[in-house]
Amino acid sequence: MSPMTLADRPAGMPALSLADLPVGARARVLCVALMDGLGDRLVELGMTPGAPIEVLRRGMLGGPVQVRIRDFALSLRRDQAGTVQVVMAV
Amino acid sequence: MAASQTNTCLHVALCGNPNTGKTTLFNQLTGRRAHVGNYPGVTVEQREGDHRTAEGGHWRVHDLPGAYSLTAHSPEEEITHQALTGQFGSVPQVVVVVLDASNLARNLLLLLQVAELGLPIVAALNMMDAAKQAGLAIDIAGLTADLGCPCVPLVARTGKGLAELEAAVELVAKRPELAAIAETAWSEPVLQAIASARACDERLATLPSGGVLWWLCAEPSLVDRLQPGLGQALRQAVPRELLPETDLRRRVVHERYQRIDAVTAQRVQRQGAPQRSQSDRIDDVLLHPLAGGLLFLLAMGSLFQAVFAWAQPLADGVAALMNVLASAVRDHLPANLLRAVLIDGVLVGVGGTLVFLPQILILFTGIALLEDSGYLARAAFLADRLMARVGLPGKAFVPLLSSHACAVPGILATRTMNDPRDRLLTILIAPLMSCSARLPVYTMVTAAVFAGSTPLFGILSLGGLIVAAMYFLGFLLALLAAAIFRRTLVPGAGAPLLLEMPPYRLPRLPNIARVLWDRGRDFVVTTGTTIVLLSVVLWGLMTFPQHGLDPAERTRLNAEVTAQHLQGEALAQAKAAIEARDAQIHLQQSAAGRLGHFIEPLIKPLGFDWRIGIGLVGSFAAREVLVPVMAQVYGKGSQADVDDRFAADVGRSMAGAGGLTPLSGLSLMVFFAIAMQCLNTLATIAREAGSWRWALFALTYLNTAAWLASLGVYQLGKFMGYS
Repeated sequence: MSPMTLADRPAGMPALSLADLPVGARARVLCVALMDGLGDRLVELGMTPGAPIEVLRRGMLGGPVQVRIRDFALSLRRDQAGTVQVVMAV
Repeated sequence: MAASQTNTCLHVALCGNPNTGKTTLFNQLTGRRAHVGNYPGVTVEQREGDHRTAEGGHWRVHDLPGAYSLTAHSPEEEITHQALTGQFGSVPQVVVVVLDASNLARNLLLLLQVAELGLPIVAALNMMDAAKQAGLAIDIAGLTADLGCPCVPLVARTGKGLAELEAAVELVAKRPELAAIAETAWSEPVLQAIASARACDERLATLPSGGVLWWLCAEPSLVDRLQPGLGQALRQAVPRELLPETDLRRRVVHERYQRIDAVTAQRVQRQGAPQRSQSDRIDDVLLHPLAGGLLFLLAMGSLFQAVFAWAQPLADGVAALMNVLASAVRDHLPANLLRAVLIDGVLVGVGGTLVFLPQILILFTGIALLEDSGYLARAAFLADRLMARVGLPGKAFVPLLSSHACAVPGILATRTMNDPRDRLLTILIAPLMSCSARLPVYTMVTAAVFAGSTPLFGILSLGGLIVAAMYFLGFLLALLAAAIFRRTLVPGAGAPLLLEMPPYRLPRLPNIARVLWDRGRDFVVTTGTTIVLLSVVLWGLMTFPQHGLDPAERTRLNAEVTAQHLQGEALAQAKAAIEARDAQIHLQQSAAGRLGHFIEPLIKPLGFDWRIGIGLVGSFAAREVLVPVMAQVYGKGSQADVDDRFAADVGRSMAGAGGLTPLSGLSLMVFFAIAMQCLNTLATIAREAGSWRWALFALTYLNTAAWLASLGVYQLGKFMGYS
């Protein structure tokens, strides 16, 4: 089974940036576009293709985003979240 | 058999994700009192301790730093990997992987990596109580079967499950087996990468597949550092379809998660909808965009108020105590140099150290409360946006805020920051925050040269505005310095914010007491020694050579006083004037006084004469010392406790004698706002940044910046026709 890529996404579901999702949105991870160590870390923390993800909180004035991934709440900066591509869960 | 068991010592390593309770378990096992935080990343160095099992066995327990993965994105993870592969001595015989039972999937990733290295493991499922509250039912027997290693439910905080853990470790030690989950097949391309890597370099030939994968997935820079020449072989080993190497790394992690998901889907049952924990509900308020922000300001405001104001009476008490001590020494020793060095050198240094203790202890009580309760992680979340704009993490907020009271506790507070480069950056800019020791200087100048100005808009005094401007100046320069250092000294982006909120807990008093004791003792013993030494040196500069009032001159002055037939108060005043004159000459003739003359060409362009030069030398002990030193220079005698009235009085004397004008006063304030003239801060930086080089660097950059800024102010002002 090969990891899901942008090409495999369900038909008609646009790829979105995690940073743009509103609080309460549930989605699935497509890929982490960031190709450096930080991107690797996000993948290790559970952001593997297909993993369910939910936006819990958004900090004020462009502050960090808190998401639920694999049963824990992770806070990351808005620009870091912007490198995570997701599709909305159906 | 039994005898040999009691004699040999079993090496057991504890590893796990940050904040899973490793250190709590370590303390339970060894009876040691290592600092337990409720904040990810409390264990920085390795700790060892001994444990006696119920059956008389002897364990050497190693507490490893928290790690999300062994791929080593952080120094903690590198240490953990090195310890597990025996690079600090022997390979551990049993590894206890501490798992947060309420969050099994992510925790199992590390367990898998440890198992892949071929190490015998025991899984300790900690925080079973929290998992139960979250509505999770874990099938322990099933999990044990799937992972192929003993799984022991545990509540490390209460010690529940420790006996079972002990038995499981002893069992694995007797019959070390590879955990079954580590043997599961990788996909074809990954297997191919492992095989080619083994063929490419003999160093990899004998490693288990997980060991080879570790090298394949490690950062290239880390590989080059640990095993020069290996990186090249590894790059050739990666199959084309898994290039770039990031793809290989992510493929490996993805395949691990696929195995983990298969296990957790079977063995972890969620009862009902995901439960919102009490912490989640508290966070709804404390992390609320509006209410959370206001409560954050309130919390930080109280912390600042505590350090700034509440410490004052205690500090006064310390000062009073030192005065009592000084008089005792004065009464019991003859008037000689030994007495002078004891009183004015050593005791000043000791007092100068101890006077910081109330602030440090109050600040660390506050920080320990915030940390232990779990709020510090929330504060980092809330402050992150603000701080990220200047390239600093949210965790830098508390240290920089505290530095507005005093840089010494502020710099100590950077210990809560776990990225060493972010920490260094924060330490270097902390002295720019306008601390309370600058206030007497500001008072002295504003009272002398700005007091007569008409209030702006009827209410705002010019002096008050200028003092506010000094706070702002320090803050702005700190931002500027941070931006510059981010591009030069510590290049690259700061540590990313990847924050896991710990659950809220009631702070534990013994925990806080231990932090206070450790921090306080460390400051007094280590930093205090340096402060005392520097104080003695400074005393020497201001004492030698000893030329006071010329004896003939003194006789003449005494005769003059006698001739006036003064009585009571007037007589005492006249005598005090002679002593003040003596002290004035003494200081001017001392090494510090000559230094003041010597540096005059350097400070003249800033509008300072040699008398202020002496003040600059003397105020290196602490900024507020400028006021008594100037008093002595201007022949106003020496007075130990400086209050606002005295400061203003000294300032007016300076202005009256032409030593201070509005323009040179402004220039002096700017100089004090920026310059580092505080040997306590200097000693603290040397201690906390780990090297005197950083302390000297801070001294140089701050004082150069201060000189340039004052030069700009004075010369521009003069050009514009002010004086």
